[in-house]
Amino acid sequence: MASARRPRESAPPIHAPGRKEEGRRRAEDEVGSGEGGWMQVGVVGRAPGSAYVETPSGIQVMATCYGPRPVDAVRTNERMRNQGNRGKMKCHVEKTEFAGMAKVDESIAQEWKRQASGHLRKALEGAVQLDAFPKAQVDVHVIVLQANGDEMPHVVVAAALALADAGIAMVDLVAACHVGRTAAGTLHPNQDARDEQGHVVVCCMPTQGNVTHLVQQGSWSATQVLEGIDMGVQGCRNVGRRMRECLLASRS
Amino acid sequence: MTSDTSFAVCPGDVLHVDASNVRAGRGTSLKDGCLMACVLGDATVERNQANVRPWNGGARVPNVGDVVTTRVRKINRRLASCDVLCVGSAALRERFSGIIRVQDVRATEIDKVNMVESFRPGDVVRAVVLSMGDTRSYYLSTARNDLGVIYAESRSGVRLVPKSWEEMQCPKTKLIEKRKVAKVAIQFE
Repeated sequence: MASARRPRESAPPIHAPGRKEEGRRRAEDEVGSGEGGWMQVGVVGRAPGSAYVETPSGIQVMATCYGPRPVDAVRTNERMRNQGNRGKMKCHVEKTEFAGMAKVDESIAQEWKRQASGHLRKALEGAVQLDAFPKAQVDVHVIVLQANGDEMPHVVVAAALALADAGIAMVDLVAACHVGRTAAGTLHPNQDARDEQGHVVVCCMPTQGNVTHLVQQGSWSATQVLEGIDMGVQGCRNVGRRMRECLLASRS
Repeated sequence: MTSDTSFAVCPGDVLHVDASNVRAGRGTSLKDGCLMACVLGDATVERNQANVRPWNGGARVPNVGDVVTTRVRKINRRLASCDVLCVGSAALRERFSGIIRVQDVRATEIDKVNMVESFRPGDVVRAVVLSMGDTRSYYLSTARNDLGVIYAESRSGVRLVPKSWEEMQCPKTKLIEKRKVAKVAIQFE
């Protein structure tokens, strides 16, 4: 597993003055391209499953997974919905206040958390076998420690690694990749955020290439969308390979 | 892959075995004619069944028919409320809630069961999961000879010694306390 920079080595903070230029994503830095980056599982001792994902472009994400635990039937509607033989999965995505360069308005931050949690749940739902833990629930908590606006794929990757580390039954790992589109219309998996006119985040199960979730922004033509998804699935296969290496190396 | 060797697998890995001969066991699933691993662990084939033993065990929940070890939390006339701690010999990650209803305490004379003479709070009870129960708790049963109280403390804080299927004695004060006792094979260390 290639790693450009390990968390234990110290480096000046990415958002320190004078380092703005280096905060830009470089072509080979993306997790999807198979170069650079760092993934590790088992980073939080107390949690049954946990994972940490970092990229040289400055994205740091930590995920933990708790469960299977009894369903918390606190609210009446929860009790009503707690029927059937399937377990539940709850995803909570948080972003620290110091994650981005600028301070974010509270309402915007709340909205981001809500949407990101929803995207994560949809991305993982297709893979986690909820039948394996009936009448129980699994909680996935992801916290974005440092971000540059493009952390969603890494959130999904970290969460999937944490689930696998916890021993939760899954059909397959879930990998995620970001494909950007320039104004000229060319697609690139490692597109610089500044030149992007739109992007698509593809979450897929790498072994069979089944897409579990898709988030698309910007205006795309039909052929561009299909091309973007194909590129995303290819990128996810690379990510999936690295996730697999990371998990197999975690045996201890 | 033979029964002697084990193979490290990730969720989604295809197990290269002949799916027509080999069944899908724990931690595996059959998809499109291929056996695939569902958990991160070691895959083995035993007696024509492919299993994956997870490196991080413990992602278990009680299922119907499992023998579980529970600790009684509180009792009333109708039921004993327990925390399910272990399934078989595997400890659960978190405590699940179970109840033993008065009609499930024993197999005979179920209308004459006195809960206070069957369980006390703090007793460790071996029970079987009857059903998934209601939204809060599993329904458990001790209506078998090998089910019931396996550990209890007397009022003086000393471990009670079983005397019969319904009596336990404190070795210090010699007082008899009534419990629904499990008939377990005594092991001498």
